[in-house]
Amino acid sequence: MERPVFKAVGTPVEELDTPALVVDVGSVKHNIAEAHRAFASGPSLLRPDVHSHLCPAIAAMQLDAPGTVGGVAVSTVGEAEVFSENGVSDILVRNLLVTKSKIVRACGVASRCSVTVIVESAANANLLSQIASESGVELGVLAQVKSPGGQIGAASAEDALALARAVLELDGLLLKGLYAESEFPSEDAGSHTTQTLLEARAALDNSAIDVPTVSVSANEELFNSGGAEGITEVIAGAYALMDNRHTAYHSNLRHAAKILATIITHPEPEVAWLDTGQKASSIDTGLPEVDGASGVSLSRMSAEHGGLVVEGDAQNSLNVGDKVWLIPSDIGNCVNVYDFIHAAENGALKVVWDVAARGRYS
Amino acid sequence: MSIYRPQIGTPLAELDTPCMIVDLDALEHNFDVIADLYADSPTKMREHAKNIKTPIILHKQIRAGGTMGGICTAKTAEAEVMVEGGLTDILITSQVVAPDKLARVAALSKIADIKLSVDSDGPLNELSRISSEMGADVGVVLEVDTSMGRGGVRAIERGVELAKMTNDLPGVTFRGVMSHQSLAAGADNDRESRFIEGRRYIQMCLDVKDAIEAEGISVDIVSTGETWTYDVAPEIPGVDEVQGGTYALMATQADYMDAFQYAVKVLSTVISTPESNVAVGDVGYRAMTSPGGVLPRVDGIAGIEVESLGADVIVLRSDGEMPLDVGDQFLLLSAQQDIMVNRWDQFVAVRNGKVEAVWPILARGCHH
Repeated sequence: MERPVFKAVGTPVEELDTPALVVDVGSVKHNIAEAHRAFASGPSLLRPDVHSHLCPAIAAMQLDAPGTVGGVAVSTVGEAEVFSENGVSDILVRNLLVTKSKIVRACGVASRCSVTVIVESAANANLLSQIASESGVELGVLAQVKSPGGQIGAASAEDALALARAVLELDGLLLKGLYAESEFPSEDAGSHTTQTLLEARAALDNSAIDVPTVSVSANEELFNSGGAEGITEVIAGAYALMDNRHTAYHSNLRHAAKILATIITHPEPEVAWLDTGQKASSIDTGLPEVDGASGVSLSRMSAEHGGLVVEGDAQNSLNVGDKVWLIPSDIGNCVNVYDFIHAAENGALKVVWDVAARGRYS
Repeated sequence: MSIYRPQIGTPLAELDTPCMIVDLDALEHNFDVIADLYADSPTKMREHAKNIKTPIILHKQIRAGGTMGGICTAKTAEAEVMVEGGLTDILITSQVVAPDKLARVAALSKIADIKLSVDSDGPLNELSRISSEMGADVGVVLEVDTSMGRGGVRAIERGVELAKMTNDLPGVTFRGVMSHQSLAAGADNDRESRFIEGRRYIQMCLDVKDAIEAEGISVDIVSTGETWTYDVAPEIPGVDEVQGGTYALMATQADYMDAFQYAVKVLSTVISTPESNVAVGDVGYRAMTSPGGVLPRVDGIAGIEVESLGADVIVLRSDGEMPLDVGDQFLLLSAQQDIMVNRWDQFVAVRNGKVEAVWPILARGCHH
């Protein structure tokens, strides 16, 4: 587990032990207000994807804001376990559960809150039905429709209809509707996904099958417009803390989460190294970016170190021991290596939040 | 709420996935390679804890033999966990500069033999001040930059200056020199090339040692070398210890080091087979990592390639018909195990297809 030197509430954030994941609470509130406003008045509601922060305290802020379905999306049963224990009452597990042990655990969560799962085959629906019935619970079910370019889901509107009919026949399962994933970032494929989903919805409507839920993971277009007609909920998460990957698409949102790092060696005027490397930032989708230090940029990262290129006046002003802020590339992937989020207000530590669902891959 | 620990004796097939496993036969083989090579050599292993983060595994190498009895850590927090886990001789290989963290290092030196890597005078003075105020004594090991362009002194004279300075300061004791070497990506990695490159870099560290000794300062420790030079270092007189990390668990990036076996693997389950030659598994880059875009490798099944890795899924493609069906398990090898290990909370240790032990990764997340 992460083991920083813990600092008192009120400590200026620059004095935190590094590497530290620091979140500005005011920016989180701003981002939530901005993003939820579009959904409060838009065609769809928002289902916050807590996979992007893994933190119950942030989920609570999202669910308190207007424009949501009142529940969250997670990627694993382990995450569902954590968020259900932290008071979330409606959880969509947006992943296929194909093994008995995983389904038994999902049914355990369903005994204390509403759980909806995804299916793509009648065989999988049968297994879910059998275990849910034995467990004495009911699982909500969304039939997944394959997106253009996607791998998982019913390949056509007819297949989605057949899958929905199969689910309707089964005990222990409640057909709630349809689900699809849109790719990020790809606006064209995003609209195609909405189109594919709406075609499947029409097929169910024409067969008089009730479709209370049509759920889709967000792309930038769906997110910024508050969804689309015929779509009941849009799943999105990175907006709360933001990261580099999303900067270009959401100019109204702030980088609420940053990593505080320290320069530990400065061997040449143009070279300095941070105490923060791949392990403490997760670079699978790209390097972090230096924030607010002119003439200083991150050029590479090894496991434990971050390599800075120092140019111009910064060569004279930068010293060993100085702090540098980094904006992560993929916030969910970054949060996943921390146990604590240092929540700050006006530049001072306010509270430490647990990243309670980090590492819950199964 | 704590993470699920599988019962001892559980067959692999019954483990919830994704699950990071350690193959005990392979791990013990790797430890025996080190024990055999260094048994009669003046050069000994100082295993790097940053790859393992788990005291019990480091103790296993020490018990197997070939070590100098201690370990390295990359960070102060890691060193604390290792001392609490019963390790008594620790070299912290990254520079530490913040006063509150230097105080942690000094405090640790009161209960274990602690050495810290140093490369500049500001932090050295600060360490001396804090350590002497606390009545502690921290070992100082001078880092020499030999090929990484990272931490470490660049010139012999600078190394001598820092050694002399250490000698004059209270609360610190000069102990020796260390360096890291990297084999450039794409460079030849056959044994002869490794020997030529490794010798060249290690000699740069030894040159600093010689210059310091010429000033009448004793250099107890020359700590250098790593997995790719583990067999080069003992052939160079003057190398006391090797900082090996990757060899224990192995990674596909180091597959040319074929004396070692893959000990860490991730068990995944197929959740979908969208085409006759495509399977989707339940693990992605969050749990596996994909440094520099290098994908994991499927272990032990010929003809299957990893096509892509999403945040939580992996897509496999086979030459012919996909031999895996929904619900089937498969094993993956990581490109860089230490980044991956840092994302998990426990090793599920397996022998002959069954769980033999579950080890919490106590220093996971110890980036401090």
